Amino acid sequence: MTEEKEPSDAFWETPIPPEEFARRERETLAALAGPEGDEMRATLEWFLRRYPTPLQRIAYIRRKMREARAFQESAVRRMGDPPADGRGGA
Amino acid sequence: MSAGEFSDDEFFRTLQDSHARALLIGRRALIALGAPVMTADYDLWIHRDDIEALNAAFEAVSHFANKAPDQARLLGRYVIENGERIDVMVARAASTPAGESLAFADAWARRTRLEVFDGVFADLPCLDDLILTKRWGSRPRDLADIEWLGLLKGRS
Repeated sequence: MTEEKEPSDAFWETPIPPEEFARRERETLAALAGPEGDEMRATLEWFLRRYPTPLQRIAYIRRKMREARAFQESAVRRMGDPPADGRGGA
Repeated sequence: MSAGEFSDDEFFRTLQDSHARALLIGRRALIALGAPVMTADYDLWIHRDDIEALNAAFEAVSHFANKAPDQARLLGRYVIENGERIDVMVARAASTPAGESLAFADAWARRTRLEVFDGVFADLPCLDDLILTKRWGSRPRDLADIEWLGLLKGRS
């Protein structure tokens, strides 16, 4: 799944100069003929088969985003917890 | 669902009932077509004469424009928001950094109509025009979206 990046993620959000973008677009589309394209095609076909209506597809993505957010929040909470042996961290 | 939020079916029903000439663009359009990508917002490109109709429809579900229509026309975009956020583009045309232009009138004439669910439809740009909208930003994340759109194009 392609995740939307946070706005702070400079790599994903920084515009690429036109000639470079055109070159990378051509390369990206050409790569669809290879194994990466096969894998994405299989994902696409599964998604369309499993969630046949646009509304179902949007609902699935919303659910996955909620799950990802909950996972991130619990990971942040765990980082703030003291070690399991009860000793405080330095 | 919290106060001020709406469900996706309510969004599409409200959009349809507004009778605004509105194209669903951005990642939500990709998802609707079948690409499993993540996003938090709705993005619309609407006819600049239909701002009032769209705003009135969304006010009925407690979502409000952050700009007056005339100001939105001047700026070319605005946001409808409350529990959900809808980015609305109202420009007559937009260009890629390479100078490739797309007029709303042309995108509207070539639009694709999708049944979102039982009898509720949404209009989207055709795949070639959606690809062009992804060149507006020309960011790496837009390349990832173009990859999915390329796959969808190969499938159609």
